[in-house]
Amino acid sequence: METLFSSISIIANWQVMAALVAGSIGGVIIGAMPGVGPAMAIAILLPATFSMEPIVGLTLLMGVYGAAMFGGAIPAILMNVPGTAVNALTTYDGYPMTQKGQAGRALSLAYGASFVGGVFSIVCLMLFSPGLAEIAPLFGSREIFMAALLGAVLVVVAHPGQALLSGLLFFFGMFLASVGLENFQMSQRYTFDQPWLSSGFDMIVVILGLFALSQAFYLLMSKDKSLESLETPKNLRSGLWEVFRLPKASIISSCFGVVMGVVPGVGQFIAQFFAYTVIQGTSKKPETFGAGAPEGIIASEAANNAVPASAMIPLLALGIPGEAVTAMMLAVFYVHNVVPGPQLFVEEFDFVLALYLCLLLANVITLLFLLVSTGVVVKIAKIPNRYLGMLTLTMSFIGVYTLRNSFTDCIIASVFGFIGLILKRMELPTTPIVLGMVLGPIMEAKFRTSMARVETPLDFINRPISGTIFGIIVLCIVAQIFLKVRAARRQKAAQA
Amino acid sequence: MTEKIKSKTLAVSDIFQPKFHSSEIVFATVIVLLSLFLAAQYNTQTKILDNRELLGQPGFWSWLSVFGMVVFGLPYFGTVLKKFRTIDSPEPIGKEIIYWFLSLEFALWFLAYVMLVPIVGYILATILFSLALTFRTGYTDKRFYFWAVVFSFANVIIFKGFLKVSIPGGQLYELLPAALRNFMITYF
Repeated sequence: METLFSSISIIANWQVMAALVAGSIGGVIIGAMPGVGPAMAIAILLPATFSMEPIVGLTLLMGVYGAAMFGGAIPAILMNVPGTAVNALTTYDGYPMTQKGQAGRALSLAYGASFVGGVFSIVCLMLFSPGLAEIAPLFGSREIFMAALLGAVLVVVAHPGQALLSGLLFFFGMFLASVGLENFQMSQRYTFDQPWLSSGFDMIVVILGLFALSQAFYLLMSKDKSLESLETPKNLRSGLWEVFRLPKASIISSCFGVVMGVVPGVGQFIAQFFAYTVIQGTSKKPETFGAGAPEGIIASEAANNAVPASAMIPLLALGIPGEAVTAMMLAVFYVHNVVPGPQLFVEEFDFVLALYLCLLLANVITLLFLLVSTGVVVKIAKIPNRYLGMLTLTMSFIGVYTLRNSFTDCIIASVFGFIGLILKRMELPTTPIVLGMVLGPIMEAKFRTSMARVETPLDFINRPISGTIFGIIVLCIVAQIFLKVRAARRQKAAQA
Repeated sequence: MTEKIKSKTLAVSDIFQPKFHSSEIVFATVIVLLSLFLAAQYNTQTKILDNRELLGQPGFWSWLSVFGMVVFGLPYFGTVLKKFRTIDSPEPIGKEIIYWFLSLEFALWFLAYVMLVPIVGYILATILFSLALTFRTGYTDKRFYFWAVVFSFANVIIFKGFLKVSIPGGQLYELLPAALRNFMITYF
């Protein structure tokens, strides 16, 4: 209880409250604009948060992250276009409801389900956190190395059909992070005698290129969509209570979000998929799914909104981000010399709890805002694509230039913006590059530290936790190979 | 991903399986060639210590990264090549590559904006940039230009004035009276 009071005192100031409101409202607006997305917004905001207290900066970013998924349901339901990639499943049942004249009900179902998913996951994490705090100190260099390795393996296996490319891009990210002066023998790596490469590639610059500039280029090159006919739906409270009348759908989906949120890269997609499939499979009316089933909307929205809190676990407990957004949040910690990881849980548990409380409040603010301001958000969502591209490019300047006032950084970001555009055009993932850049240095540092203590490779896995993680890694790889072989056999049988 | 599924039962491929684009062959070729080039440069681009095994070399992590790129890159190229050869109606690759390079125009716009800021100052550069880009993207309605100016002001006031992000004052501000110059450097 003392820790709870201490965490409340951390967030009880106007800066945190302002960040909560700005993050929640900004996140909804960003999520409601198809083609923007929280990763891009967070990339732009990131350098601005460096001058803030860690709790303020992280609250702002987490608010954007969580609220964007609420907002993403608006175009998914009204226009059949998901605001963020993780709202894709919401279109399956949301848009048919709009076509039936039930847009208000569909939106309120989405809002209610998102709220339940968000709150459920935060409550779960608050309950699990004391346990995590006990386990976290057992993680030494070897365990963190193995956990980062698991993250790397999961990034690869969690991209079905793109595993080879994900692996390639992950190692490309690792390579980018290794360029420049290394601090082991103080030698240069892959600098090609170029002074500007001595300090290596800044992760934030690469992220801004891949997420913000690429999106700006993409929007500027696209054609405007006609959204003038988009109307504000009425009766935005009709489906809100319906969520509570369908507790099975909301609770099971939230559980999937909590568990899958820890999986790097595609936790949200996996959570939604499993939630939707299970809820459909156990529904009394499975035939209505895909044609306007309320449980379908609940499954998708509750699952994806349960993920943000869950995705913070590996970051806070081990210092290992699971996807691009939490990788960016890691930068906020580093800038303030706050090292996320086992010690954070032991020494600053009230800070961890304060972050969860902020996420909880962000969910409340977002829901209230949406219930009274959906009309305004719908109007903002009508901003034409290319105009939005202009706004994005203008704001990207803040993210890139304010880091070091460096023109070279801007050129590097533009190059990665170009690469990001190409990947986006071909529907290829960018997250493995970012995770390679983040996990690579962590793995290298922990590997070098561990090397002083191990004599044989087996020493890496002869401790209970590192051995267990190694077992999971082997299981993931074996399962991936098994699924590949089975898919190949089925394809062969189908062709025969 | 946004298209409606015909079947009532959701398949994993509905979410995860992206469409194959013919131009991926160009991307695959470039990234594999880059991987091989980087692998060939290992001995010259990292410090090699005598009498040390690979694990103890300062360039070990770079080696591992490049080795991983090659190990994943070659089979990736193989699968893309196979898909490319078997695709029924390939999209025109040349048109797609032209599209990629046309996007570089906006990279140049961005860099021009970056160069303009230290000269004319953040506020003026932002207004000029947003107005010019609004014009370039073909908007003729006056409302778009009005909102571009409003957005520029809001942007500068929030980030430079309120959040105090680090952006140098413009050279043009030197021409202003001292009191106004300080105000402009601090807030605009």
